Amino acid sequence: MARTVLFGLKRIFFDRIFDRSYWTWRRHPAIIVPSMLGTAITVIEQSIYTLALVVFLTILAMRGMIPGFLSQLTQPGGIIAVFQNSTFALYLIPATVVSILGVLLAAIIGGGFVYSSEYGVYMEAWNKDKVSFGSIIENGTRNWKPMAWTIFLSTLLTWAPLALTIAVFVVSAFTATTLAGAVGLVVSSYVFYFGLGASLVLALFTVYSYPAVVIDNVSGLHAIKNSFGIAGRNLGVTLAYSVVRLVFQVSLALLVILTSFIGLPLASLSAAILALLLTPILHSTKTMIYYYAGPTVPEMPFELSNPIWYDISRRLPKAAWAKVKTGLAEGARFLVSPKNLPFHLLSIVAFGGGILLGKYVSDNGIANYLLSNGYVPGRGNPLINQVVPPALGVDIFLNNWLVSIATGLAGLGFGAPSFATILFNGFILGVIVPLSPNLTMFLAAILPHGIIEIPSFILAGSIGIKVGYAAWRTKLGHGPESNNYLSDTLRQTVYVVVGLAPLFLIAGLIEGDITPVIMRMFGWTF
Amino acid sequence: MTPVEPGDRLSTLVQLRNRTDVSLGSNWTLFAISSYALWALLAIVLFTRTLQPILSFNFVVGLFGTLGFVASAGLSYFVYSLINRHNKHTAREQELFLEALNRARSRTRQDDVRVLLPLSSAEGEFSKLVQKSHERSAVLWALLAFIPYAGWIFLVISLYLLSQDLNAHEHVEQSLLEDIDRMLGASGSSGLPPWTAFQYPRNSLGYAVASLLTLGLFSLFWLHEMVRQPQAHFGNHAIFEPSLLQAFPIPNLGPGV
Repeated sequence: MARTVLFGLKRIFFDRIFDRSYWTWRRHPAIIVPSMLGTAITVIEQSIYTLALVVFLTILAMRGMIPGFLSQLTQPGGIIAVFQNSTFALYLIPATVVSILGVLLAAIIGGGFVYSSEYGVYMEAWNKDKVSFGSIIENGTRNWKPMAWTIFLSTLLTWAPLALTIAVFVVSAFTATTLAGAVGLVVSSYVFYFGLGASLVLALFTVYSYPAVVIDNVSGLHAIKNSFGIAGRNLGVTLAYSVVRLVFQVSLALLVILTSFIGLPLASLSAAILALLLTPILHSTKTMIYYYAGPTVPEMPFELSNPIWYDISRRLPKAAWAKVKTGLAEGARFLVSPKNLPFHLLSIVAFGGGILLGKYVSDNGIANYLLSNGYVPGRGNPLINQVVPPALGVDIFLNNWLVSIATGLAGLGFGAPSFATILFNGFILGVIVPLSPNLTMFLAAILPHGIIEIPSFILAGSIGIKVGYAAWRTKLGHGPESNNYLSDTLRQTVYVVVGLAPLFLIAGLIEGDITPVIMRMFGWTF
Repeated sequence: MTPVEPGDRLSTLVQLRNRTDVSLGSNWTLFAISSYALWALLAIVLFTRTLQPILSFNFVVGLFGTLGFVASAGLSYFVYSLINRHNKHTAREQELFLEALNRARSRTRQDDVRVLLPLSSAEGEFSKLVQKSHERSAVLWALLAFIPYAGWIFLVISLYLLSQDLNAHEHVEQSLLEDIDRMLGASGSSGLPPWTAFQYPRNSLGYAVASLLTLGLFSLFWLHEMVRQPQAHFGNHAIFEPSLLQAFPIPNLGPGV
């Protein structure tokens, strides 16, 4: 048995935990799924306000109000003006309120499920030989309420000082015309830094709130209190974790900015690295720091592992390709199975419906507005000339692939988010149809890559709707059979979206490098 | 992962020396030189606006910045390897001495004062070794060294800490080895073979000041020294560890202290 203390010292080794987190991630790729679900929450949030936007624009189009709305919106102070205009406010205020409430609810409830699943799965992955897709669901459903409550309280407590100082600053800015207001503005601009500092210090101490929910089975203030205790007693390792996380993220962001100056778009690559590699490893590290800080847990024993870099550069690509091949086979089975036809049809309906709605809205105001504001039909995005060719294709591929992963997994929110996302993609396509000089030029711009990309998106939507159906069955059925169906469908979803990678890669490379050539052949200019 | 299982734990720990006491190629310093040169060049180019008539500001920042990041990534990995090597070495060594001292304690008669005295002293030195061995986060310091410009200050700090750790480590380890040698002598076993004595500590503070005064240039030499110097220390381990293994065979399988 490992010793608890050595000469009275109980040590927590950041590197040992980080190292083992990496190998846990490699041994149990399923632990990436909750992190992917985290990106799906973003899609759910987006689907809420995009759906509200689609409905709002459609209503305006039906009443012929889009040109007036857009011209008022683009005036200085237009955002406030459209809210003050009673004609628009009648539709705008409900759409905004529904969006804000929906996004908040999705963030808290969805976050509760995702983080509960994520941190629970890390504990299992460290201590068990196998992590099943079923356990991802089980962990999510087990603690989602305490986790959601903890997320709410922890976020409120951590960011309240910053929010308060910003609120004071904004109020002062509105009253800056008076002497008292001007003084208030100057004072609040300094107080802002105190608010920021206080929030950052609180963020350091509440860092273990979410792992505390899973490990200690507590919630809310109790979890936050436990986090404060562990962070306070292990300040060195907590600081190390926070700095490592911050430097990773800031460095990636800086690299993206620098490379964009020389025509290398790496934003999507950075997002993929963050979502699929760094976030699971760092969150697992955080969880295990909290675990090993427990008084009854022995010190982590000395063990040697193979160098991580060697694994990343040599073995990881082969392992990833093996998963992609499995995903391709799973995707093919999903596509041809007659049982999945209703899901395919629903996804196609969403996409087609989106195109029709988008075209309708565009025909009824948006197209005219854009044309009268300088958009030249037949002129493509000139930025395409400033990008190093293969890099743009790879960036498009990663962006589309991440969106499709999120679209598929967002279906866990009872299918609606996947449906809404596909609908919105169709909507955007529909909006640009009337902006093309003619159908041939439109098809020249869409078909070369769209012939692969659009069916791939529809397939991601289809599997998302299927997992939503499985979620409904579990919600209404409550039997082991429906639970198994949900975990099997989740497993299928993950493999299908992983298997879409080669298709999106081909489509991305065509879109970045071949489509512009074809567009030029059909009269487009850049 | 290779956990150190019970059984012939001492033998396993000695064998793991090949994986912890590794030599690092001096070629890695090239990354440090490139990183230093590229970031310095970028600062000079931006300050003097030398390339402005030919290339845009954004392009210059993008080009030198991207190349600087690539070089800094190599430097960062180098720093990681240096600190990680030290961590692995000290962690294995602690396990090794802990196992050896536990075996010595279990085989020593309670009235054998001649052996008990050096054994107690060795245990005291081991306690010091544990307390003075800081397992610093290689990941953290590597990432801090990765930061453009400010990273160079973190590099100097990490080298200072590493040098200090190595000084303390060698100093305490020597006392511990002397005690073990006396203990083995008192028990009638053949002692440890002669090892190169630790004579004088590295002047870490002097190196740090020199690095700061030369705007980081001296730290390039310091990095080279930190690759080279531990090799001599590892050479000592290659000498005394096999003897330690012979002196403390598996319990109940052979003669003890």
